[in-house]
Amino acid sequence: MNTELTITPNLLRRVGASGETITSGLCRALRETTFSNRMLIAPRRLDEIGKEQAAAFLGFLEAEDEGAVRERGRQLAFEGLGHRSILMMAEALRRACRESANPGDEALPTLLEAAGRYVNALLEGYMAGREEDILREQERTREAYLRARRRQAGQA
Amino acid sequence: MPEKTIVDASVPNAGRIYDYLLGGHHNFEIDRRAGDQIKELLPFLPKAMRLSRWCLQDVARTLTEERGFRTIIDFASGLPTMDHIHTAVAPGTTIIYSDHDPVTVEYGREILGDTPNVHYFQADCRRPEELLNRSEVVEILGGDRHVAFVYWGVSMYMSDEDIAHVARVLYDWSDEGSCMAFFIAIGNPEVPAFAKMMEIYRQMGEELYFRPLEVFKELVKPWHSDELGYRTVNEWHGIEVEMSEEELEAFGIDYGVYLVK
Repeated sequence: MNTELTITPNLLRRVGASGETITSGLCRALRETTFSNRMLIAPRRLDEIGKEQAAAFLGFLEAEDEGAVRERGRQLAFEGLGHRSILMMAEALRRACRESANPGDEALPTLLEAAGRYVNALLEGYMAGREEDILREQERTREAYLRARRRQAGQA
Repeated sequence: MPEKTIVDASVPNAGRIYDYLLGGHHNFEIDRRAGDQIKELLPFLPKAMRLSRWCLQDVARTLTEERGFRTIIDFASGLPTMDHIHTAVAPGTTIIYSDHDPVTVEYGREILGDTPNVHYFQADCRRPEELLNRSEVVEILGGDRHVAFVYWGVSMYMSDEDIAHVARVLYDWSDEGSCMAFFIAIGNPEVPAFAKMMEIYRQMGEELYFRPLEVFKELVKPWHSDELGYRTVNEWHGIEVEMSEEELEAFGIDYGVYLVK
């Protein structure tokens, strides 16, 4: 069980002020891994995902709702985001947090811990989503084969 | 696509290899092995395929929202996943998907479920008259011949004669103002790795065809391009895709176009 984070209003304000830096870091990471995604995600969608993720992280700092983050990760898997993209995005988030703090900033460990928890929950949801997706597609493929075989046999 | 390989999971299948190279799960070990062999020869190929596939939503929006088509007939559709045409069209648009592979058709129907106005039939893209003459399709269209056709990511499976046939049949069948969105893959069979890939497909019973853009333009006459002309995939996406000199020599630059009657 994770202990509650001590995100002070002051820290929230400061991170909120770095929102654009976080967003641009996430968008850059996603653009760099454009081709690692499944065919479902067109390049123009990447910036939208970057913005959504930045907003979600800021929301997490306030609400600390790891369940919502897991669900977000799950949806990203369904949408077709590749694992390289999500790992790069996680790294970009950590980097943006480090860069948003001043040297020797007392709040930095808390912020990094928050980023770590966010990333863990996101990855956990993502992996669950990938597994769910693969199993669902496996079942669909099996069903489709059976039906096609039956249809062909009926036509023979 | 030869009939013998269609529901046969013991030999590689071009459609399933395509799915594998795009990161899908609708494929088997035998397809993945063939796909890996192809990827090793031409590492850029999966990128080229993605660049093509990513255009589909643009095509769907442009045809319906900007150009007002209420009916889209898509050939060699593959799986109607959530990036496909029906997810991006204006509400009320009728979509007719088709594919030669019966498994893809069954799978596609399951994905679509009871999505309104979206249909999926088995048909050979090289013989569009077969789809257009199906009684179900005739009924769906209800006499409407002002339609948009889509041939996206399939030109490499069509010989010059096939393309000329398709162009002629659809031109004669459709009303004035109809449109055909076409993606043209430009490859260079002179490049050894490219020739080897074509040989792998040939061994699976699948012939691949590539031709210069100028040849394609002749084949599709009297269709002519719209005011946007033939656009490279980079232009479609507004991105710069880095290609090495070898990749450029092998793949050239692919184009998309809206042909109009």
